[in-house]
Amino acid sequence: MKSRMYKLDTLSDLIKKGKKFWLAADENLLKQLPKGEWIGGTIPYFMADKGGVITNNEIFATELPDYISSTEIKIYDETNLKNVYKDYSGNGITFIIIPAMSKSHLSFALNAPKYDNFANRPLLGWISGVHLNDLGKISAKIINGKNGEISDQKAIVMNITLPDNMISEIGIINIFEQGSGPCFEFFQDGFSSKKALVDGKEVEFAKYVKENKLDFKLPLVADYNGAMINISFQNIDEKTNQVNFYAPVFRGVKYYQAKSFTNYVSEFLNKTPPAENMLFSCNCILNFLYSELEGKTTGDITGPITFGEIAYQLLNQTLAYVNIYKHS
Amino acid sequence: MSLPEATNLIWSDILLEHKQIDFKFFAAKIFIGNAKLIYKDDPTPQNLQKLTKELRELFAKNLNLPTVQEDLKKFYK
Repeated sequence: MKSRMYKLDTLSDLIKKGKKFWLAADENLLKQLPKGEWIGGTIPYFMADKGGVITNNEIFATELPDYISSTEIKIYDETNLKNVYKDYSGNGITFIIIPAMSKSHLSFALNAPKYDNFANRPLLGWISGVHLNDLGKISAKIINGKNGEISDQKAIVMNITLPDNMISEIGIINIFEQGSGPCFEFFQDGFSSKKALVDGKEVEFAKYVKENKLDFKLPLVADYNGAMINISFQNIDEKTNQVNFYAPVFRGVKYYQAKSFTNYVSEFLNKTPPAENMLFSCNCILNFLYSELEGKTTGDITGPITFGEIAYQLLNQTLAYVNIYKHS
Repeated sequence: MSLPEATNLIWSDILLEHKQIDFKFFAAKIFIGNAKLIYKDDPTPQNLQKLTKELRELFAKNLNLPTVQEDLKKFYK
């Protein structure tokens, strides 16, 4: 599969030739690309062939294979994003990019598991972002290559159709496992919490977190029938006395803080599947930062480093990918 | 490996945790994990029927995946 970093001119030529792409780059670069069959999201962090890199000068592009018979681009807002699983059927992949901190991001994060036809069609994608130095100054965006539409609130989707003899499968690589500490439960769905149950006992969660010196680099991990789903800590809001997360916690789910580990890259490589069938992957900015991945490679796995990963629902501190297989 | 009929109790047994299966198919894991929460909030026969139908459809659509074939073998163990 052809996923790699491109210079603006080289990629522009390929778009003009009719090649189809999923793109990730700085907003200024994406705006300069010619119109064509592509969608993109903003981000300056990447896992490139040569390792983790931060750049505003290159574009990470996933070229869609020629056997993809049709593509359709659609923009969703927070009111109709609930239709994302049922708008398309058939054999293919729905690829989605959502701007960080947008209404559609918050809506998707909280509600995706309850959408009609949830998980009925492969849905993969990422949350676009900005350089961390630009947080609060500029917004994350998505862009529709077909008409140049840019949004910092709406989600963009490209549905692709695979030939009948091919099938896709979404997977994740999560190096975190539930630790042996207390069980955390929350009273409501949301990106923040004031109170929690810790081993069944109600506590002021911010106070508990501080007193017990929870390491915010280690996410809360829920077991979804064998799939380990992380909720990353963001911070404690001292004014509101609540703990903020990068993804919502859900009522009724039991969370355990992850076990610590010594070396992200070696843990990651131990769990990495072969990349030869991989069309696309993305990894989390928190993994990039906490594990100091700049300049380091993670095997053959490349892709944008994102403000959230989407594999059917929003994920944190996880690598999400899609493989494509031929079958008889 | 063929797919059990929609009337087969295996589908509800999976959602109600009467049958424990260590799934390989990621979509099944995440669907079942969420379906259990949805059923907990609305434990009606109608809801169970809807969720089991959706679970079967998920497997039906992905029968050609090696992970699904591997998982189906576990249904009868």
